[in-house]
Amino acid sequence: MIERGFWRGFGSLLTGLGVTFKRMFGKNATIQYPHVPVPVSPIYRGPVRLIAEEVASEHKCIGCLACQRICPTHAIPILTVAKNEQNKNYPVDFVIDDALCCFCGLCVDVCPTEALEHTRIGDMAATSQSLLRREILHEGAITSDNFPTSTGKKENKHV
Amino acid sequence: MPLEPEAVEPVAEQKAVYPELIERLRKAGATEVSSLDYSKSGMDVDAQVTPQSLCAVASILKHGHFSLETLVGVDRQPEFEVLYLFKADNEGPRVKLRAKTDRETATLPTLTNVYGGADWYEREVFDMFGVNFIDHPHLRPLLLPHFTKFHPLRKDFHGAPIVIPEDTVEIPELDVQAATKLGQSTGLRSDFFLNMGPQHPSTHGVLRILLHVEGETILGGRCHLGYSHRGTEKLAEKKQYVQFLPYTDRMDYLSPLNYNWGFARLLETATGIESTPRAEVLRVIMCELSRIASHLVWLGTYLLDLGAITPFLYCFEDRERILTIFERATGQRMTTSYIVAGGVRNDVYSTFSLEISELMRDMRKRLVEYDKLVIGNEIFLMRTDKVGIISPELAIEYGVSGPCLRGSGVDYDARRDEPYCELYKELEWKVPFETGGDCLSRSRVRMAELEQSVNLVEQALLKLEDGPVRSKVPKIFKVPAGEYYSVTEGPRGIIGWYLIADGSQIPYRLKVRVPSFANLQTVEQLMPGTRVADVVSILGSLDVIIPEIDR
Amino acid sequence: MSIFDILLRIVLAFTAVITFVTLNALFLVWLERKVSAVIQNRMGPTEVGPFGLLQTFADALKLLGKEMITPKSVDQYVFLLAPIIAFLPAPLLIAAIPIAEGVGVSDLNVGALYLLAISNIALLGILMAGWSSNNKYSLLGALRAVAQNISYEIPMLLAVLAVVLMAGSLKLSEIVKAQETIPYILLQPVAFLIYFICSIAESNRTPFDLPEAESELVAGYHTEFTGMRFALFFLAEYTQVFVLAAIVTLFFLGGWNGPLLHPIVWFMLKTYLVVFVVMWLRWTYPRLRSDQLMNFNWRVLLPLAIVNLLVSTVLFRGTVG
Repeated sequence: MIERGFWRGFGSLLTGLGVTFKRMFGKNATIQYPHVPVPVSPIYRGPVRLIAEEVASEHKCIGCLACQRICPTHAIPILTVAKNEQNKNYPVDFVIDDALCCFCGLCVDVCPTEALEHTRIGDMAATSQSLLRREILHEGAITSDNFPTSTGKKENKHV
Repeated sequence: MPLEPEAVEPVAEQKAVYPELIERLRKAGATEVSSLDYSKSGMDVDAQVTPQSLCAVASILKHGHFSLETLVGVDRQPEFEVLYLFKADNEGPRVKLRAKTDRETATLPTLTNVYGGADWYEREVFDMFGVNFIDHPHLRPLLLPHFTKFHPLRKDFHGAPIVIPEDTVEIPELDVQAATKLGQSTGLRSDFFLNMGPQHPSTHGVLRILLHVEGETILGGRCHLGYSHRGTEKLAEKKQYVQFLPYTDRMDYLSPLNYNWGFARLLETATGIESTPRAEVLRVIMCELSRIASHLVWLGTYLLDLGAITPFLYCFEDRERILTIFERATGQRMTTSYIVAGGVRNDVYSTFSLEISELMRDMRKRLVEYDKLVIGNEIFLMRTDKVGIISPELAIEYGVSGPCLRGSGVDYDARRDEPYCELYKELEWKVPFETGGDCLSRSRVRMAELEQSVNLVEQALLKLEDGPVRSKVPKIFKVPAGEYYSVTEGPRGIIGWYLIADGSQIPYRLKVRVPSFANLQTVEQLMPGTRVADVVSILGSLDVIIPEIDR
Repeated sequence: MSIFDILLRIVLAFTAVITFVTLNALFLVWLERKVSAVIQNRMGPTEVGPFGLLQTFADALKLLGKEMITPKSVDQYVFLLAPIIAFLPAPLLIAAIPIAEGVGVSDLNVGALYLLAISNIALLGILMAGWSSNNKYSLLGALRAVAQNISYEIPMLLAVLAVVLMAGSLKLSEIVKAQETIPYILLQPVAFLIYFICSIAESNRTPFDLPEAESELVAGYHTEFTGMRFALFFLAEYTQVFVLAAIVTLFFLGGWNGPLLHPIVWFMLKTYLVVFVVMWLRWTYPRLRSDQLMNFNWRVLLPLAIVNLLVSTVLFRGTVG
């Protein structure tokens, strides 16, 4: 137990002042966001994207629907599949709704062909929920330029 | 696996069957008393009670200093069953009482006369299943709005709109009565009611307390919950075990990793999957870091409640470093979804140990500084010393756990007393506890825990050896039919998961026992006679997380 | 002196005082934000103007443009009047403070008494605000404010009395003149401490900020005020901080006395140093509870102030008078 007393109490108040005084000469913790970008972890689980492929029918994605089935929040509303000449499935329509997505990464984990991956966008922001519904089959590489973020451009070129 | 029988058998031998206790329960009127295998189900004794014998059996447990851990309502279709879980101190057994009632009458006697802590639990069961508890002093919905007519956790409930009736009053008469009743012990009278919350700076989330005050003195108060009720337990009945992982993150926004671990341990208990040695070490490191981060937020916000703003910023600066490590190791800062059945989801990055040991070195210096700035401060002492005293008896009766329990002089920590991670036994640390039971004791316990966690992390880092981080887990994850309970120690206390599995990929019933629920419940007992400023002080020292309570 | 001259003087003085009150408050808000930032390892305002100096101007403009909401159930007239009355003493107090020998609007014969008396008018504004808001938090805040200010008034007066006793005058310039050789902080350290603590309590700042304790009472008496009305409370509060620092400077730190530098510079330096200390305290301590606040006043400060007054009477009165 702490001994209580007038002088101890008075001393503790001065000690407190001392601590804050010392801190006045400490290093700043501020990151000047958005002037300075905040570093994002290399394994950051950002918005999911489909690895792009030139020919749709040769796509890495084999349309097994495992991602759609495992998604806890039903954030993959549309995933239609067609068959190519070799009788192999490929996606023709693939939509992810980032407004529903909880970024758990279960879809990326479950994908047998590693066709899905996370982007490193850590500052998603959009003016409307519909902007977050993305057709991810044809979008190519997402950067903060074509994706709604708080620092990048606001308009979205997707669905 | 050749090692398995050897590993299991000594545990089975060591685990005592409790013949004396079983005999006494039988005498008090319990039927079908049997002992369970702790290593498989997480419980020791199982007893069926009739509504008539419930209180008598519970009294036996009360005399044995059992604490009421939780109530689990189950819709067994057609009848309802309410499970009462009791835990004796440290090494003692965990007892499950089962009381059945049929669907039409749906009534059971209340346990509040024996265990005061049954109050909110019974209200929750009343909410969710519509089971009436006869003679309950204040049987109103706890988490749902007071005008709802449906019971969501019944299996035949598939959703209903919430219609707010026109004649809804701001403060229902019943609440006023209840708050007034609590204040009778102070001997004062007043007509002044103060609504603290749901939007209030220091209720730590959306909690509303209806305070009955005379000037600045509090006569009584009643908590209102459910503003962030998300129905996680109902959701769990619709999700596969694997899919439920992200929901465990969202129970408690300050220590998602501890909840990840709790759920992983539940699945491991139920299926017998074992995690790898490296994963175990990583779990300890991450969870202790999470505990440090959580306690730092507590320290900061508590001081904010008491009026000092600066420590908050200091604590968040330190926490930020921990969150950065989380982000790099797990991929997310707060919704980590990292610890899963069989290990952890991915291995950590190369400079992980280096960064953490550096952080821990700084942390030690910072802790000394916090001690000087905060805990030693005379004004802090004035605000916390002898304020909001939870006696050990009250703590046990209400099932208080974590630092709040240890601040009341009960030396129980699931990390040490529940065999859920061998590593905690190998590392050198001690469970801090204080005997005061007041806000100051709880604060000092947390400060000491911060130091112990730093100790644990530093030692665990040395044990980190190469190896796989996840053992083989079947592709289609099923849990064999049965009932399982598992307990882990979170930053706020015991996180318990009760699972009723039917052998499929989806839980039949999943109940989460959250520490803040029991801890907050004591507040109604602590408030009468204190001042408005003390309520803030008491609430802060309990370190409650409202979304965790509401689930 | 013609009537025109007198009118001109009044207008000039009025303009000067109001300008000073506003600029000072804006500066102090900026200073507070910077001090808190430095203590908390942050940067504070940086975007508007050099070092963010114009940030508070921008904020003030924003406040001016805000809608002034009058809640439905308030006591209309009292509610309207409250911020004005709370603000009223600010210019009155500034007007009576001499900044240097002969610099200042008016150097009253009873300056010390005047300052202490006028500063309490703000209390009436606070009480009116709390009462008229028809909000339980506001009411509790106002009650706390009144109880606290009235109690802390007594040891504060006793502490000032000890100083007046030594200087032999209530006139502020005389008190400063009496300190030409040695400032009273060295002769009257106890009175200084008592006065300093009490004046922090009077201006409702941490650790005595119970009337507006945001973690208990949301915002206390000014919970329901918006826009410019809220700004008036703000102006009043920061002017009060300046006044308390100025009084400490005049009574205990030797006023504008000092070597080398111009008297006005000395006065301002000392005053803002005291302001800085007040801010430093705020960003270090938690707040007291209402009963502890009262106990501290009646059981510690008041007896101490009486003893101090008696002792200084015995020690100094004989020599000075």
